Amino acid sequence: MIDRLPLSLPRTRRRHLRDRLATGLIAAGGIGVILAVLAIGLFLAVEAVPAVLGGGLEIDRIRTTLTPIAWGTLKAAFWALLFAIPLALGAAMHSALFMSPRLRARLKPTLELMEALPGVVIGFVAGLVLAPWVERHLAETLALLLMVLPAVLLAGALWRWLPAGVRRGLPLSWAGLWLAPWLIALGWAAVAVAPVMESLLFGGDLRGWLDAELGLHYAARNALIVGFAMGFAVLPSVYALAEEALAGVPGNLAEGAQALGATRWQALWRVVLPAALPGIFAAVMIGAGRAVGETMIVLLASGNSALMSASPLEGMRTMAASIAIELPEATPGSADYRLLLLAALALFVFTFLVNTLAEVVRTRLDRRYRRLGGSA
Amino acid sequence: MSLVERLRRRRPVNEGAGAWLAAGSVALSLLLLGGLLLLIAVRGLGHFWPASVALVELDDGRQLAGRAVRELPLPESGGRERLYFTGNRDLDGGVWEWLPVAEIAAQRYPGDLVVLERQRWGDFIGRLVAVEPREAEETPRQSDPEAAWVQLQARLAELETLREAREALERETIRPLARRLEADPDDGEARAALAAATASIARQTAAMSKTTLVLESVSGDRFRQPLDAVLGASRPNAMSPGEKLVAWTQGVWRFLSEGPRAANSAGGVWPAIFGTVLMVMLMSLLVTPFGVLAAFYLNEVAHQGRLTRLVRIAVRNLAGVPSIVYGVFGLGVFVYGIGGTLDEWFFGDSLPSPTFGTGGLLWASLTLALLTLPVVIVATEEGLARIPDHQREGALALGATRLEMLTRVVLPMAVPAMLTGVILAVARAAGEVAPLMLVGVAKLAPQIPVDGDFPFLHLDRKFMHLGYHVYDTAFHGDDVQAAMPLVFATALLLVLVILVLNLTAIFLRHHVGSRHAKTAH
Amino acid sequence: MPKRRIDGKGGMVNPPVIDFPLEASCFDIAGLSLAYGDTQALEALTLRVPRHRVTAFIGPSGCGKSTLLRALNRLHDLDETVTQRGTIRFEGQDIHARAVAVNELRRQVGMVFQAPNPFPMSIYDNVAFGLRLQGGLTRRQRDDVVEWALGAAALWDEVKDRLSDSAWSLSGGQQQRLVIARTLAVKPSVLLLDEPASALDPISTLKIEDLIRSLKGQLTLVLVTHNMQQAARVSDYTAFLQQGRLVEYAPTDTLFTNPRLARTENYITGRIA
Repeated sequence: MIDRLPLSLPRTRRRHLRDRLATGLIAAGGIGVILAVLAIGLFLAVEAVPAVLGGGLEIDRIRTTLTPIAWGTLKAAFWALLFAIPLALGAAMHSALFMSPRLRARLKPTLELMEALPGVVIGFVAGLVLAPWVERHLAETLALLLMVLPAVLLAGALWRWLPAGVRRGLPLSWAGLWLAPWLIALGWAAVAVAPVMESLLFGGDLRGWLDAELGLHYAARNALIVGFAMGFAVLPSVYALAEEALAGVPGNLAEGAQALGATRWQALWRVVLPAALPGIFAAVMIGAGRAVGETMIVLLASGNSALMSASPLEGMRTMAASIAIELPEATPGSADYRLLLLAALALFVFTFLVNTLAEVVRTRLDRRYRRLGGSA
Repeated sequence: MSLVERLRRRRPVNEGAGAWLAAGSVALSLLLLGGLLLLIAVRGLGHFWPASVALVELDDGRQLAGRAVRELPLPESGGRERLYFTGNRDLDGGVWEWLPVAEIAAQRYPGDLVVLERQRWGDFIGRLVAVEPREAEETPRQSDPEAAWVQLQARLAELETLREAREALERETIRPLARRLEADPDDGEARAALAAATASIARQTAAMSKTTLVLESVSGDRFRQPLDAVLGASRPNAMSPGEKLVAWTQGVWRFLSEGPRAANSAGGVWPAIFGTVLMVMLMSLLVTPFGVLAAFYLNEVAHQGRLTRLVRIAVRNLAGVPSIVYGVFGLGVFVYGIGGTLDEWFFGDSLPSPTFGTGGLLWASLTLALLTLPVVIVATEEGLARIPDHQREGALALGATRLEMLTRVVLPMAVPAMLTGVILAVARAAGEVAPLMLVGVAKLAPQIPVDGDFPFLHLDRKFMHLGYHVYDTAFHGDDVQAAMPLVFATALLLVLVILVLNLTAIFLRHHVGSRHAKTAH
Repeated sequence: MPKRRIDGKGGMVNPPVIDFPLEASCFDIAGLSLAYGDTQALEALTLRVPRHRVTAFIGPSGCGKSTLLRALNRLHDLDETVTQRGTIRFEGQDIHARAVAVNELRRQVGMVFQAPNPFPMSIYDNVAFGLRLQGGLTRRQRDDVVEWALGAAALWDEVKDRLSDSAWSLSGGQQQRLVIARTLAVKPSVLLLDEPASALDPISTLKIEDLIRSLKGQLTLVLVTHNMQQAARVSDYTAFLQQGRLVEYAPTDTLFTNPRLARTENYITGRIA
């Protein structure tokens, strides 16, 4: 009865061997792939850093070449973020706390699709359609920009005076949709009154007025156009992360504040927002990383002149654009080539650091929410 | 209790300005997105609609024919001016005409205005006088334009058949024969057959060039146009909406199926579609196994310690590294490094002109595969993490080895997540242009990278790409204005491809989510 | 009989543990200690599991009863944080010996989990899963084994007409019996059951219990449960574990009617959770 059961048969041994072999292969392959991916940073460092340290590149040369494009990169990213962050955070707050769940379930994939729009298409529309239009219609553009804020506030004020029945048909939870036609209508009105405004305030020629009064030269492809287009490209990723952070804040926090008599907006502002602040910071960081590295939009919409000007109405050239234009022509191993690789290394290091920071903050935040008993 | 009740009932609560501004930013974002998509869709699809051609008479008696494109206020005088596309580059030197609206005396849409698409000089807009043999007398006799139009239609149909026959002959007879001769120069039979085929082509070409058209612009310039350079003819003013719709469909089809003409500013984008699809397919072939392998290693095999966590964060972050940096890597390592070495070893006889040491299909696919690896790894890992542990334990408890557990239980369950990852990767790769500028797209690649010559798929060739086509035509074209509609159409195509891919991924992810919800009771 | 004596360190001296002769025992566990990272799960556990009987492990949650069960077929191998001392002998053979193929061990020591975990494939494929791993059966033989296993798990009549349906289309109780059938199909000599009925409704629970009773003539069954009535109904012997230690191990009747230790009594009468 107690004969030993055979716990090791030849077939079993064969299966075991195969298992060991395959596991080893998976491990080797996996490590190989991961190393290949990580090799990017290594390659850039190996190619660019010795040249700098070993004197292959003069510091002066580096400074004169890289400073303008670094400036351009920061300038473009600054305007992009200036446009994208308020819009993305506003949208995130609305969809995390006010929006009807049904609309929210539709909005999120829609904005994901927006994220997938290729930069070359956005850049093309910005550079070849928007830029010429804005150049011809400076006053209208200014009117449109000035209109947006008051239009939304006006809608909010009017809404409170609406009869209750109409108001129920237009709830705040769906305002993200029904405000759109309102904005179109007011936009139309703004464009219509723009020429009048231009002739009254700026002597009928805003562009001339800018030049004469403020000393601002207007270039068709300028930082504002780039910022607008790139902001449009960056917006969805900032929105997605910020929304995740806000929606992840444990519900009992906000409810507690509302139980004390705060409005939803007050609860959001005083309780939810501070709790989600690290997540929002991470979202902004990711946005910055994307804005710094975006190439096609800058190529198509910025004019690519390597001048260092703080004016938002003039163009710039960024590191990414310089690499895209100049690297195919540079001889491998030449000083130009190494300079461009140095620029690529700078881009890599910056985005990698920024993303790591965001990731670390996000992980911390997740843990914090879990401690607070959230449903994140 | 009652206080709370009363507070609840006192509606509406004033949420304040902030709440409305937040709602406004949603509305504004959606407006911008909708506006962009609408613009691309309308301008992209509208281009193929055979718009009516106006015959404009000016106050000074001048006449011209063209399509109105847009209207702008004049800067000084306060009037407006209108832009017409008038074609006839060979007669006028340009194709655009700005006319002050105030000077337009009359605008009519006569049915006999003809628009000809030509191989050279772009469109002709004017009247057809006669269709004649080439050697006709110098001054064409007056003829009936109606009859000439009917005759032109018939001739164009013949021409189309001739063109197809010639292409078939070239493809099926001449090229195989040429290859045979290359292999064996003394093959007399092949030489004779080739000579016969070439002669037959010459005959057909001669037949095609026999006919000329006598054309007249609305301002009265008359000239002869060889028929064989005409690609299509239409009389948009005489078309019914149904006919216009048919013409529109044909226009879309030709855009999708033909190659570009006139420095990419006319014609179709077939090579770019083909190049994009081929590159993306090669990329998926590369990225899928490697990405899945890495994900399986990270999630199922690796020791789950600090190092693995760091690697995971690093891989995630690489998804945020700008694509241009991947392009630099591809250029430095694949093209100059590996490609250069390959050339030295195997293609030394064709140096210094590089074979693999320059951008090409293979390097582009590899670079994009590297760029999209993090996407696939992250998506697959998420899928693996969603598979409940008790499924793995169930397999192990039945005596499965780890490999058997992974291949028979885990892998099938992870397939939807893997697919999602690959589709997202493809969507991202299809829209990336910046790295391709460094590692292998061409402005105009006459040969597509697949043909009948061994080894059929030419990994070293450059290729065309939809996104780059948009960039190049919009940025480097001679007459951007004329190329704009095509750029819009190309952009629309690119956006559509990417939207469809993303929707598929979203659908798949939803599907996966619900299927797993069912098991995790 | 002296109630108990406790030494200064809190460990039991002369624990009231029933002993089986080696020939009659299936598992022989000696001095087993097991820890997840820094958390001690089992401490110096010594007991023998009798062959062809039903043995139940009971105890408050976190007492280590599931850990012990999973140690018996080395399901902990995947968890790298686990450290282990002591020996487990299965039919006289040390299961951690180098010559032991762990998958063969797991085939012979089958396991059924708390939540039903059928694979996302057809009912037939679920039962045939283990058989296919073993190989060496013709299609006909495999069909026979599948039918036999489903019959032994009292499921054949319910599913014989829809063997190609997805296993996920079955009810929870049917899924759990399918998992048992799947395990029986590879002809194990031991069946480990980790709270097999805790996720099921009362009727399905009864069916599972009937099944356990019907199997015990041919198999050694080890049952982990937090449901004391269930342990009392189906098991022959019961071991009470607390905080990773074996407290009392006796024939089920004795343990439930006349426990030797106050701690056991407190637990089975519900005075401590």
